[in-house]
Amino acid sequence: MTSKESTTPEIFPESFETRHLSLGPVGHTHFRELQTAELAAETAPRWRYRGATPSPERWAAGLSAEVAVQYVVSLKQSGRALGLVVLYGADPDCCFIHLGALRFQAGRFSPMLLVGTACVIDMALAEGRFRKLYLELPEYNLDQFGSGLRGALYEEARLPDHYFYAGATWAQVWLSITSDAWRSRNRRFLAMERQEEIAGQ
Amino acid sequence: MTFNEFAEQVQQIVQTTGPISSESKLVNDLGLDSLAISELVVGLVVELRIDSLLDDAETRDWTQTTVGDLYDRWRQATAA
Repeated sequence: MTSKESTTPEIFPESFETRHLSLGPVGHTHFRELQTAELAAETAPRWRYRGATPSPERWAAGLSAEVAVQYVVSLKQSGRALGLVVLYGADPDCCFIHLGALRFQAGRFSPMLLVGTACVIDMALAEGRFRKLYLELPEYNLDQFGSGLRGALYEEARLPDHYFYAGATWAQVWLSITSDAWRSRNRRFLAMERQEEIAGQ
Repeated sequence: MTFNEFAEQVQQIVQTTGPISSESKLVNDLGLDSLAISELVVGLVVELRIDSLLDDAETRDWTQTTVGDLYDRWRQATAA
């Protein structure tokens, strides 16, 4: 994700819970994990400061720059924080928004962080808040979305040799999900995970 | 529940077809990616009450996990 000024449409809850996850705001207790993850080799090329070390003031200010809402995803059972999901760059007129996600433990696949990410996508698209959602990611992260590509994600653009990581160059890929495509996808598992929230609507 | 019935549940959750054996690996044999594995974890926890899957979901090596491993977890969960 990249950042400018904060645009915060007050249409997202500050926090919410699903069956197994808590999604809440970034607190100072998350700063160390967040900074460590931002500087990890696989993350640094694509995240806010591209691996640079900003001043503490600039780093803190950048946390909310252009962010509509962001959630630290934690396991309810243990309280362990898994990562951060950010909705940013909202355009309320054209009804699109961007999504970024960051694992706190780089290099480790986190199924429940992906579940949390899907819940945030669901909140943005399925409930009619936005029409289209964009993801910007390096080519080396593309494989993990294979089933999503078949189901709902559409490749909008590809910038060849954009990133340098692990001794090689990689494309930057822009994916999108429309609300229609998301709603037509099998959302049964999400409905199960979001049961408490759906029941409370 | 027999292994075949369990395998059918797995297929329904991740929407795959084709033969599944207890040695089938989720990634290499069933072709599941991260998104699909996430769906499978939630599906198995909610539908089959294999809550213990959440305990090591973040640390497990999913590339080496087989359908038989998951079936064993279900049997342990129902025996407990």
